[in-house]
Amino acid sequence: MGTGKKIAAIALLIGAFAGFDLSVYSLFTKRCIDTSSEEMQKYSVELHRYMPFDGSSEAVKADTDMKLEGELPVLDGAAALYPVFSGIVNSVYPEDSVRFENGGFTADSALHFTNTRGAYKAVADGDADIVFCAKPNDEQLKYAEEKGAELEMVPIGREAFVFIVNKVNPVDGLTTEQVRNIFSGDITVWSEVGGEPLPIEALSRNPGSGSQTTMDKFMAGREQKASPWGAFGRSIGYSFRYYVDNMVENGGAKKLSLDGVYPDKEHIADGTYPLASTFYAVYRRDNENPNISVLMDWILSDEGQSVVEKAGYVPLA
Amino acid sequence: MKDKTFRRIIALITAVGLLTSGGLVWYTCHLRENCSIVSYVANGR
Repeated sequence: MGTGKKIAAIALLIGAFAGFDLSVYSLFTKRCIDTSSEEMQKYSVELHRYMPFDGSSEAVKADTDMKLEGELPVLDGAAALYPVFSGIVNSVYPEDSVRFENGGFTADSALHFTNTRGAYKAVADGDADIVFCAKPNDEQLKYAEEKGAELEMVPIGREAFVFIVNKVNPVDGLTTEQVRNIFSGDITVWSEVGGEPLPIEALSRNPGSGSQTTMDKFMAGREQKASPWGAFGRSIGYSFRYYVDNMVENGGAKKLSLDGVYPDKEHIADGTYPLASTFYAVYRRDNENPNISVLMDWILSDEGQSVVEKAGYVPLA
Repeated sequence: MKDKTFRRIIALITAVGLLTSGGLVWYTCHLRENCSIVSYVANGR
């Protein structure tokens, strides 16, 4: 082989590897890179952004004279509801009740954050007194039962379960039946629902997360299946409205209308959005901490509901 | 260019290329397990 051909072969080999790497990066790696903080990568939420008693944080505060004293209930909950329970702490807890070190809350802090799965375990184990979450799934209820915990679930506000696509996707809305067909694998191409002739990548979350539990109920017994070609097309995912709007870098995502109704606060409050849902404060019925009933009464009062509203959620009517 | 030199260059490029591509695929799988759905949709297509 002449020198020219050898150099051409070397260039071809380098080009083949570079082309493969570039394709993998642009098709897959780029969309997985989380541009936010280390805490967010770990928990999918920025704890510092809503840190109580920190003047530079966005934690909300109610206009109230109430201050809890004595045995303080330990609060925990879902990522999407962290602004609510951090706002409750910010409003009625003493300033020295929150301790945060090395990227996490310490064991003696009255505010914890372990997300839905961790929170339901914590309340059943007695490590948290009140947790703020969507309804538990069967596994979480079973775990509580095994621990002898009867859970009291008090509705404290309303949210919406939303479906999201990238902003470049021309589809703006779907029907509930189309969504079920997409996530069960019966519809695999966007052109079947008014979009482009590209495969649909139907994403799912870990079992036990609040949004996955809600999705399981929405699917009404139909199994979620993802097309193997989906990664080459456009994706569709789901989460809670507040989480999408406020808690993650979402510049490239848009929420879809469902059955012709857009998931904004107005349509959640009037009940016309089909997947408006209630979220709860959950505690063990046998918990003897006297401040639990005091705090629950306050959360359901106008002052407490103002925290729900200021945090960007829809308060109870 | 001598054949021996050519074979060495090809072997070196192949080794580096396989390591780089393998590492990128592993890193992508690791990221995909940890990134949130919202970020994935927002950063994707």
